[in-house]
Amino acid sequence: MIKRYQSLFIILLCLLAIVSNAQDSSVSGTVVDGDGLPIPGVTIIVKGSVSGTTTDLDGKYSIAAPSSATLVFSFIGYEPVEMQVSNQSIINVTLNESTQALDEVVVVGYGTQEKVNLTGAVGVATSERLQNRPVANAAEGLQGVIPNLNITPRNGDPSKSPEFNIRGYESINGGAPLILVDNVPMNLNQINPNDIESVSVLKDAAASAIYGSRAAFGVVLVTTKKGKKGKISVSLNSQFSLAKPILNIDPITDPHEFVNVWNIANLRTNGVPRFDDDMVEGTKKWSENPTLENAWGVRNKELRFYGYNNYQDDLLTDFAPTQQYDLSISGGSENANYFVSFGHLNKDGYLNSDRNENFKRYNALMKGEFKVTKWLTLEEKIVVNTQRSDKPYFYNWDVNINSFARVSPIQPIQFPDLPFYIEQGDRPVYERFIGKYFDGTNFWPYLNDGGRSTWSTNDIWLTQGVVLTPVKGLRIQSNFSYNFFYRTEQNVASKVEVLSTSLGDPDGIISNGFSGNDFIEEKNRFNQYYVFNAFADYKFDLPEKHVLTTMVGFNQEWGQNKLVSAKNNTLVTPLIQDLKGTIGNQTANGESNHNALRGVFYRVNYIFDERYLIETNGRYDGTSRFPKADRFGFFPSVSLGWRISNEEFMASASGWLDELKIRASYGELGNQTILDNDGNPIWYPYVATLGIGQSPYMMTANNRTPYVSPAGLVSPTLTWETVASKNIGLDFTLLQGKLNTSFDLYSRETKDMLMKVTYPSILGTDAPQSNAADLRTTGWELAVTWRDRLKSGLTYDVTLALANSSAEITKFENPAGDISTKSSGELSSHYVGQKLGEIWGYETVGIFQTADEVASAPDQTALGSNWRPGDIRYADLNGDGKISPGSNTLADPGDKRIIGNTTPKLSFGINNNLQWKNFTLNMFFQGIWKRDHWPSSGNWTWFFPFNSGYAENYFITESWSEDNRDAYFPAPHISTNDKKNIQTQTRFLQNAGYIRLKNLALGYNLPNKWMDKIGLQTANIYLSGANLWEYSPIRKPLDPESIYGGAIEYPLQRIYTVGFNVTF
Amino acid sequence: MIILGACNDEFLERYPTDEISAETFWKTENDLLTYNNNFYHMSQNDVDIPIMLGHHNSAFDGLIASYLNVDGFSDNLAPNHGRHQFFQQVRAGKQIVPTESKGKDKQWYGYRGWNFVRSINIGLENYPKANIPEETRNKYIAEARLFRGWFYHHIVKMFGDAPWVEKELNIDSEELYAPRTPREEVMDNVLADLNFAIEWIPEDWEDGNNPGRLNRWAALLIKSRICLFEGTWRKYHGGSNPEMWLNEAADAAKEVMESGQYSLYDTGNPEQDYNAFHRILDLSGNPEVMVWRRYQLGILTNHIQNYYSYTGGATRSFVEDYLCKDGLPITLSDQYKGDNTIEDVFVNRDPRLRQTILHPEDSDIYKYHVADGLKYPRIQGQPGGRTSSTGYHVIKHYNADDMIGKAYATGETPAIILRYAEVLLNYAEAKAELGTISQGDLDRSINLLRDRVDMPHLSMNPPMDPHYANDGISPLLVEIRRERRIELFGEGFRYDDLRRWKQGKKLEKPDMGIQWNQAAMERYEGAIVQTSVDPENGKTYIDVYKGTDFGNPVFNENRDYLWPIPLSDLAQNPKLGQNPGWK
Repeated sequence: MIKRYQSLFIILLCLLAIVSNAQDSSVSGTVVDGDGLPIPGVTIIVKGSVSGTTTDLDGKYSIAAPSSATLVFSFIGYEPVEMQVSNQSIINVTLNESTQALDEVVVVGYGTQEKVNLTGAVGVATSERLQNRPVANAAEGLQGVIPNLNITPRNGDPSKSPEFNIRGYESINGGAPLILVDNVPMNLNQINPNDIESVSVLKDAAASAIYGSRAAFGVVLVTTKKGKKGKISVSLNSQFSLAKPILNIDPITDPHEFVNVWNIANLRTNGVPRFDDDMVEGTKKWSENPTLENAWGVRNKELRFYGYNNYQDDLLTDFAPTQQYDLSISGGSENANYFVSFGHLNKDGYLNSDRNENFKRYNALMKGEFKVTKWLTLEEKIVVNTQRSDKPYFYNWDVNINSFARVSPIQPIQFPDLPFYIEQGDRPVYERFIGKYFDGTNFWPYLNDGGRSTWSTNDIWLTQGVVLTPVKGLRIQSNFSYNFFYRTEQNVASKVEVLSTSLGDPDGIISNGFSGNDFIEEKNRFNQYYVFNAFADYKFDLPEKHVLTTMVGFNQEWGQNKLVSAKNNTLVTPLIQDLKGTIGNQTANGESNHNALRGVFYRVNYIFDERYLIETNGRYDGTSRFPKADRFGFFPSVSLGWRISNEEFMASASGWLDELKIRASYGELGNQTILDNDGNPIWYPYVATLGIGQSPYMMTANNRTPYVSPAGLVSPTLTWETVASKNIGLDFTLLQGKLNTSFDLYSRETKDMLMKVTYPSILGTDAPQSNAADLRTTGWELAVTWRDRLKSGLTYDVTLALANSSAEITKFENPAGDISTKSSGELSSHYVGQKLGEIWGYETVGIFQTADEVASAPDQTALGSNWRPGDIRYADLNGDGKISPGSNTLADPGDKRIIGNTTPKLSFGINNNLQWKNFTLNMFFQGIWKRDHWPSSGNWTWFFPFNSGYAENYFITESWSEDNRDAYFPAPHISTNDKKNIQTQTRFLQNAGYIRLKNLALGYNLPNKWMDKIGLQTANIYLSGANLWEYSPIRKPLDPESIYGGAIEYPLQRIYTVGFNVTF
Repeated sequence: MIILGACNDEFLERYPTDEISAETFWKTENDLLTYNNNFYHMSQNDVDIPIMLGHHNSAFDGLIASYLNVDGFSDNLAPNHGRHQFFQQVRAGKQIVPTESKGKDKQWYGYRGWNFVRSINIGLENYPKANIPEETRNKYIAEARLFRGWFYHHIVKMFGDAPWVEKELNIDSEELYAPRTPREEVMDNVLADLNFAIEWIPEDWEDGNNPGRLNRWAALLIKSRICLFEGTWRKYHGGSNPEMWLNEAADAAKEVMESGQYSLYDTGNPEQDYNAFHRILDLSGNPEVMVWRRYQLGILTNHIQNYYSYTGGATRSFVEDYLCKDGLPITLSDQYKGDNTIEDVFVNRDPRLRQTILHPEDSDIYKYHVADGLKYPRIQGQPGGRTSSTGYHVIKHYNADDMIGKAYATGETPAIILRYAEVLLNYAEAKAELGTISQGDLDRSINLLRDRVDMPHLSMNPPMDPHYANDGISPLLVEIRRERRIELFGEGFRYDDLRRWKQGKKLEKPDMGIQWNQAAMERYEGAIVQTSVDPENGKTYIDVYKGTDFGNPVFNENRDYLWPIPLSDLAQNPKLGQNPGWK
């Protein structure tokens, strides 16, 4: 097999050398619209090649073309025109405005379909959406583009993939769309966004039933670019970006103020100030006179820092660079075409250090099609995706990138250079520590001297395809793809030296902080996967008015995953970063699993008189994940369409109505995925196995103890979740294609959801999953595009994507009505009638203002003790005279009620494109109208004052005191343990709705006359900015898009990009 | 290549490749042994299964789940660190009914760990499958039942009635929704488990015993502890046949004592022997330590020495319980020098006091707080060093060597799980409660502990300490209980002891610290303390929790002897019923 691909590779390289030598002559002319006005920017290509040009501001063009060639003139919103060159040297063309969008061909499951004939709900995005944007992965570029394709960036970390969702809440077990790249399941994060030709999102059952048991929550079909007949076209794109984190914090920078505000909070909490008088005095002195002398002191042999360290600014760079390069080469002849691309992305993190984080991606894509005979075409494809990540080792939450949001201004960072320390003349004793870093919450020593976590993935796909066209109308396709996926990961937790501020024992000042248990860990993952597809479509030769096409196919997939890991303690020296260089305890571990899928599928599509459309899809699917008897399922769908605009009675409307179609579909899909509590797939959910492990419990020195743990409970009759999906859609195009609208209304019933009923804890293990719960998701989506061209020559289009959905549990076993909540206010169980995303909490009355008010208010001792003015007063909803969670059941929720819902209400994307002369402008806004969010009350998270080590100015201005009775927050109180005032409640519920300018791009196409001189076809330069502006009612420092992680991780970033694009 | 239609063939048959199937296991003795290792592995989770309580290793739970902290529930320690709030709540009678046993409102040492019972029951159901001799099999049954009995004792101790389960449950098991089994029935089962364990578990597993598996002697000590708890509980709270339980307790302890397998750690140095073995890193071969847990860098570590100060400090109530050198309590002895200074407190006292509480002159010896050279004690609010809430810094288990120069969570301080001294105390107390104790019994129990520290022997008729005159027990029992409090301080017994003796009212006295006179104010400059005047002697003392959420401790006799069942457990099975007073 390898050998075969080697030869393919050589063939591809040879193809690059083929250059068309035909004699060309020059053709020029002017392109005008129906009113005789010149149209700039019209694309003119030599048919069957990639050779082409565009018209200039005056609608003029010039192109070299053989006299036998045909020129194709096309422009958005106009009917394309083809003209034979036939020895003419001047060809003037008039373009008529058109309903060109209707002729669009859309990629659907195992085939394509004309958009006008679609009966299912399919959303489409083309490569333009992904071009010239500083996106680290394709998902970022697709956010907000297709209504109800919901993409949630985890945070600004480029090595983390965003989450995909189609049409809202999927299943209580999670679930995600199936993502296929050229018909094989791939991680979209791995591939090069610039290789994408188009993206189709199959939303309803009619569109996705052909993928059966994996399509329950929709399918994303990504099609990569391919070569076209014509001369070699080489395209080079390069861009450079600078990213700046969006940090909404406003830290207290005056140490004296910081010390005082913490003392107030501490005194209220436990009666003891956090900082002693010396710190209060010392910081005051420094604040008044910030000299080095005032910044440091020694008290009781302890070094003290009274000054201010601008840790955040020192640790983070203002701008983190990203470079991106893409080169593609494509071309072809009658019998062969090729597309080769190479891409590289290099993105730095924003640490202000030469040991910064770094992420790299390398992509190579090689595709070739060879028409061997009239009836035989071979398709070859090689994909190589490589990613590398290099970060400082994560020693502890206190000492990694998150520390930028947790460090107080008085945290001493580096040992100072002072004339003396404890007493005159002792400088020689401590001189050796000067400049070294202190322990505590201080990333610097670990960043500068610590180990690294590196990983690299190599994802290689080899595909061989065959296309047979033995008789007219019949097309048989088959392809086999084999995937090798390697991931190597190394974590080096080498020792780091940090200093204590206790100077008493100079020999004991140095310790290893969080790095005492040093080790090297290596993890090697090797996964293999193959996909075999074989399918045939046949278009019947029928009388006019009848179009009947059918398709049948077979699909088989197999995967095997293997992990080998080893962790050895005690490095001989941090310089040798290999397992070999360790002398301590050693552990090795392994993991392996395998899985398989097999299915047959069909599609029948019948169109009568371009008016009535009917299509049925189905798949009979089997998976290795379920027991034999329940392994197979049949997933059918049917959809209907009526092109009303083609009816005779609509003829009178043809002046303004181009197209009107209604669609309806119904279908059933399956979900084979079962995830464990950590979100990892359970491969054998019906097989009970005993676990094996090595316990750190030592029965003798140096030895872990091997143990076997009991099997969990499994259900022997596990089978698919099924998803029944209904969809009604309306598509219309008005005013010669100027207005294009698509609206869909849907409901999705997820039935037989695998659920873990919460049984009494005496069961002693997780309940087996059983197919016992249902939910219903309902929603709608709307896509509207308006495009027009003004007399001034300005062309523009505006696309609005709107979507909404909500989900409700319709069946669930929770006989006790248990409504125990997690700290997010989310339920730990479900119940019938529950609207997913519900937040349960207390209703806030306000803040206690007087002791009398406390005394006369309902008893709050079930939530905490020692209630005083300045604390939160909760509402006694059930009127029992006390505030409590009752018995935490639906029947007795105490004083809790549903106070909000985390489901986004109305998500939207607004995309604007303008083109005027040689300039293009793109503005893309994306957002959510409303979404309730309960800020984490956990420790070390942003929002609630005094839950973390730092302090912001709003802690002071917005905390209750006798003089600030209308404050938003209660009186300062350390809530790390006592959460009595920050129970989930109405007062602090946030609206995480937002609108964000995701992309603003200004491009300039260099004029053709310049191009001709230097032999380029096109060239443009562009400036773009990502996340440049946003509005959200959420309170700072929260960011509406990065609030879901809980702990503070990578913030999102504003990215400024400059790039250029040349084709020759 | 592939034939369509032949769909349900081997291709889709995929079985796990990295785990064991139940059919191929349970065959050999080694299978049973490896399975039972899981019980040790699980009980190392000190949060869920706090029976073999050590020093939990995880980052956050490690600062709570250690036997060093458990006295924080009682009048022995006054923790003042915010992270020990749960101890403060319970101590003050202000426990909040937890919404769930795990998660954010965690109930430490609470209603959880049922996976342990399940694991044991699955073992018990499957051991018969092994084709091995009966007595070999019984060793492993015995070990499993020992763990089950021990765990159920923990649940009964905290919650009273408990859901007794002795088989693997499935989702359709009636037991899931059954009411709790009455306490006495559960304890009968526990006793049966313990008796089976003692009959069959080996005296020596021949595993090097370092520390190895639980052996028969450990089982006997566990039995004596559990039976003593149950016997005294029934005697003071009501219940059938306390004598039987006390007899079982005494007999089990006696068997260990007569075996000659263990002895008190005694090098003839009364000034050091008591705490020396609590402060070393390797307990191998220690004659007193019956079960312990190893910690070793790279395998299992803890951070307990760095969290040592979270316990706050020992209380005045505890310090005053130490006898004077003449064997009399401070209320009766003319050797007592009072407490005007902290140094005075140590004069002429049981040498264990100075091995439990830091004497100012001992800071250097103990390298207190990484030998920072500061003067101790230090009181909260004072700058620098390590401060205490009461002035009485605890040093019994303090080991600076496991802290100096050591990084976060790299400590190797071992955990003493069971030690022989408890056997002696259990024996004496059980016999005294039975009223069958003799001078001979005292001499081979309490007086051995006294010998180690060179204290006068306890006789059958000690004078009554006026301090305890109203407890309604004999002077001898007062002294035996005192001995237990002194000897086992900081090892997690006090709170359970007070509850089984029905002495909850002792928790209504606020936790005090050192005397706070003018000299103290000058000496401990910068200290921030609340104080109260002791009405009995008119002197002023640190009042640790005064003015805080946990000032004015209460103890509700009708409620606080048992803990509340978490709401989520009640919601899932309302028949469990909440414990009295916790509605």
